[in-house]
Amino acid sequence: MVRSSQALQLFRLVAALMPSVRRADRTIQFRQRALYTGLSVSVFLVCSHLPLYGTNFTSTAADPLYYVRTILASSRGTLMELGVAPIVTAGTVMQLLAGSGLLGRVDQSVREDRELMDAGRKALALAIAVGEAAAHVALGAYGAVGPFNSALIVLQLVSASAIVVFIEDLLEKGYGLRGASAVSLLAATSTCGKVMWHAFSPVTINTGRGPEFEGLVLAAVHRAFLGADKLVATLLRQHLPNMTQLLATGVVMLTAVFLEGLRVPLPLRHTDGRRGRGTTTTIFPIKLLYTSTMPVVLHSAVVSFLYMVSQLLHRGQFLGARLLGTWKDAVPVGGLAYYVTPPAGLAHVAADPAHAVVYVLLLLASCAMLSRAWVEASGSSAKDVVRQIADQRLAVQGGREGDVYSKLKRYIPTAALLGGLCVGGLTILADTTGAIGSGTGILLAATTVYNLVDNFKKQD
Amino acid sequence: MVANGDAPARGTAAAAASLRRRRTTSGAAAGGGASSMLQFYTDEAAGRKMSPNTVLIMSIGFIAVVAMLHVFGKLYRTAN
Repeated sequence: MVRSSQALQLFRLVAALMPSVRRADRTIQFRQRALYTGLSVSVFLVCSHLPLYGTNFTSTAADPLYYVRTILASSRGTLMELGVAPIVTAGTVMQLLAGSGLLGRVDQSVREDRELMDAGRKALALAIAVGEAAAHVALGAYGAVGPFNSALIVLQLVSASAIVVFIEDLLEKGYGLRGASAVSLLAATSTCGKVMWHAFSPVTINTGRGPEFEGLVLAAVHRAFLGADKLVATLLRQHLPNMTQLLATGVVMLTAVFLEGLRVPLPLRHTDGRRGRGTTTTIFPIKLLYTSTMPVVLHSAVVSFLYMVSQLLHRGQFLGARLLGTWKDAVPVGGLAYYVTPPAGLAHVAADPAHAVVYVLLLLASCAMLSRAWVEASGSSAKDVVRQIADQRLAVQGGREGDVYSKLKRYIPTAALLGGLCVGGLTILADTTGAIGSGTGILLAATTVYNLVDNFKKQD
Repeated sequence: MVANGDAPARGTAAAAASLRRRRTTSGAAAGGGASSMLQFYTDEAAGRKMSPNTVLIMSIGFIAVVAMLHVFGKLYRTAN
């Protein structure tokens, strides 16, 4: 038996202490799985609307993390302030550690190694949660809070993150709907919740025209009784959700779904002599969006890291800091940080067209490059896929050995590149038209729902 | 891993069953989104085992606790 790496054994103590959800011992029925998924997602939603206790918001300062919120499914000032960030970060770190060999040889097919990695990942997620929560409180994100309240806030945030960790565990161990990973489910739910809220919120706000419903559909119906011109005014109102936003959201979502469906099917057949109704074939589709929404997610991660560094250095006032980015009230107004920020609307594009052009070019270029890099990093390059196909004893229908590789090599790099560009372009479209929940969020949500429905059709 | 991990799992039931045996559940369950590319092999861990209901009940309990905190905070503030 292959000895698992020594470094991984360090996690043994952690693994013994970390509780985990029991794996489902038989396939759970669809209805039960839907119920579990629905409940878990509802818990998450409730937590992301429940405000933290003990905060002391003295002013509504601009939110420096605004752009990453959607991807991380976090809601400012609530229990889910950290969103899924701890889990995603922990997972990435573990993946990098395993891939780079720092933990010695980690054999993924050895069950013991898997258990240790899993426990390590959970523990790391909790540790990250503690760190991020403490950082949020220390940096004054909640106003000036005393020591008791600070501890209470950190405790709430860490507990909420623990809930997210275990819900993710629950969904991945066979109790959740198949076809979507837990993190993407939660992020998608967060976005869909926002869209629904903008459309149907019954909260009334006092505007100059009297109390109005925040939800566009309700407000439109309410105003329709007062006459056509009032209706148009409501549909186009500025400070509350309006028609263009909702339309833009719809357009982006439809485009995302359309792009998801574009794929090159590669018919494969079994080569291990199955008996039965002739040669059974499966189709391996090479999707246009080969790397899904990863390029934009990675781009956002890099950008938010840049923001953090630039904001920290900004207090320093040396030349490098100014190149990285100059800030005014938590909004970048110069340097690299400025050029990677989306322009805040058509008026700004007109005022500073260079910014818009540079932003678009940077985004598209980085999406294309990140997409190509991600193919290698995640083990879905042509070579890896060939190996997996061979492992499962499949072969290209009506072809020889080398055919699979050449076919894949023809399509996969192009798909990755084009897919990255499409995803970047869609994000730009969404951000400039003001779609609800940011382009990335809608893209993620559309992709997740598409995969869920797809899986549902194929399996149940 | 294969892009969304669901392609070879389609097809006949036999193919799907054998393929599912070869790959961990999370591989087949990976859909679009951030961690679809990050294959989390969530198998049995050596630690304490919980049932999924425990997780849900504990999280609902936590929500109740925080809600209570808010309620009592408001009550005591008005009393002061």
